[in-house]
Amino acid sequence: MTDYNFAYLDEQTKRMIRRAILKGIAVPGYQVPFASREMPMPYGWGTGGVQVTAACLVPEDKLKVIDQGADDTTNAVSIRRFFQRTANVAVTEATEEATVIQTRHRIPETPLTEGQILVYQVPIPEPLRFLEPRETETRKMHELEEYGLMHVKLYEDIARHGQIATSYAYPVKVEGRYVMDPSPIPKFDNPKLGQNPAIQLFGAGREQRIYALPPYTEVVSLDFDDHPFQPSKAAHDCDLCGAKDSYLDEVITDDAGGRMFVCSDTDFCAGRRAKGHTGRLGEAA
Amino acid sequence: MIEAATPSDTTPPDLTREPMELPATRPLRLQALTRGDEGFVLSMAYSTQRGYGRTHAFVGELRIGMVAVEVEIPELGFAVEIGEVELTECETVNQFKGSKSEPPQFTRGYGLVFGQSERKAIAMSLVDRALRWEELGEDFTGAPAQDEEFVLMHCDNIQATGFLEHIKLPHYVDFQAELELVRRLRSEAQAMQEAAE
Repeated sequence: MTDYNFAYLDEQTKRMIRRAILKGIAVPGYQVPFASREMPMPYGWGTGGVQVTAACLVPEDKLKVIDQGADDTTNAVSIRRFFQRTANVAVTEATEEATVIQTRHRIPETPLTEGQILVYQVPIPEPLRFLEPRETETRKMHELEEYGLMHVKLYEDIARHGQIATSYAYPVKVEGRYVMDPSPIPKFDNPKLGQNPAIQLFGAGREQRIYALPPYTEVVSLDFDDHPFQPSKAAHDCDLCGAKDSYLDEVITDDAGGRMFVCSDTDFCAGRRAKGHTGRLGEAA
Repeated sequence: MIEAATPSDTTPPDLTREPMELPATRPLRLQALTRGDEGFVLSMAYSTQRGYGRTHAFVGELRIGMVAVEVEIPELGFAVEIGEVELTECETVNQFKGSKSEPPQFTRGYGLVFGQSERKAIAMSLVDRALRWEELGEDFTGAPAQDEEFVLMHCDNIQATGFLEHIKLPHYVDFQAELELVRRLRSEAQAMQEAAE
């Protein structure tokens, strides 16, 4: 007798969530309503991602959980421990070893491979929400493929600021049909969404929506011909591992303006250092 | 003199088992309000009393009692009685001069809440009645308490608390993205200003 049903949720609930996931995979980028359950954690802390992960896990899986790219952040630690306890699955911090990765706000730097599942925690699944607060309206706009409002918003950004003033949760168009919110990942990560060999699943618990990108889906960040999309990051190298092409966090190191830039993906950074790469402040491993 | 409440044997939808879809039916609205935050429901009701979607209410019934709680365990397939819980129920009789589709009569508002809480039960009845404007052929006056999506999507305090408190979690990835953007916008604005001078 174990204390929990495998991965916490009852089998009927998992079946319901799997149906929503399959529908999401069949209609990439479409937000599928699902009967989100109350989880033993607060809404807004990954209840959607946790339910999607629970519905995907099998006992042979190896789970990785990250928040802000790091495995040792509080939300990631709690969720990893939750599944160790309720599903007794193996866990890992190595991106390439994981079969299921749950994430908040980042896509790992190490390219994903076929057979992996990336589960995103999503706060507001509706890309049009801050242009039109009513769900009844935004659903209609998706049905009619009526995305003019979004293009006007991006255009107004350019008219006012000379560029599109969205730096994270940057909207994308999926397979030429649905405009989708990629969750609050920095726009630096957007190019990894498209043509990705892994399955990408998005779970929004409080908002009761699941959506998906099957492997090798076409995902285009919205832009204009004369203002093409530009992924951006801090113009530095990682101070620990010297990486030039990874997303960086800026860390204040003293109260005299000292700061360092470090990879937000802790596994990627540690892996590079283990291979002998060092940055400005790093020590050889 | 009072609107008929036609009894029905159809099983109402269950808010905990189906996603909220709008426009919602009255059973779904009532379930959401029962689960709603007392302060939120109270303020909405109070706003109708002060004229934002006014439907003057008389208390027709207000009572408190104990009911049995049954839980259906999905893996077992049958219900188990686990105890009893106190409820407060309220039915209001509301002034109504009639509309294009309905004759002048008294209309109903309903409230059913956990615990001994007459305040929340009455408040819920007022909000329920305000949300029924469409089925009674009344006008939408733009009052917040008449706005189904606004009321139903924001009355759950477990959802509201969780989402509010999640901003305690680290956000340094998206903050860093914003920081780079603001720095870039500022340096460009500064360059333009210097070029103009």
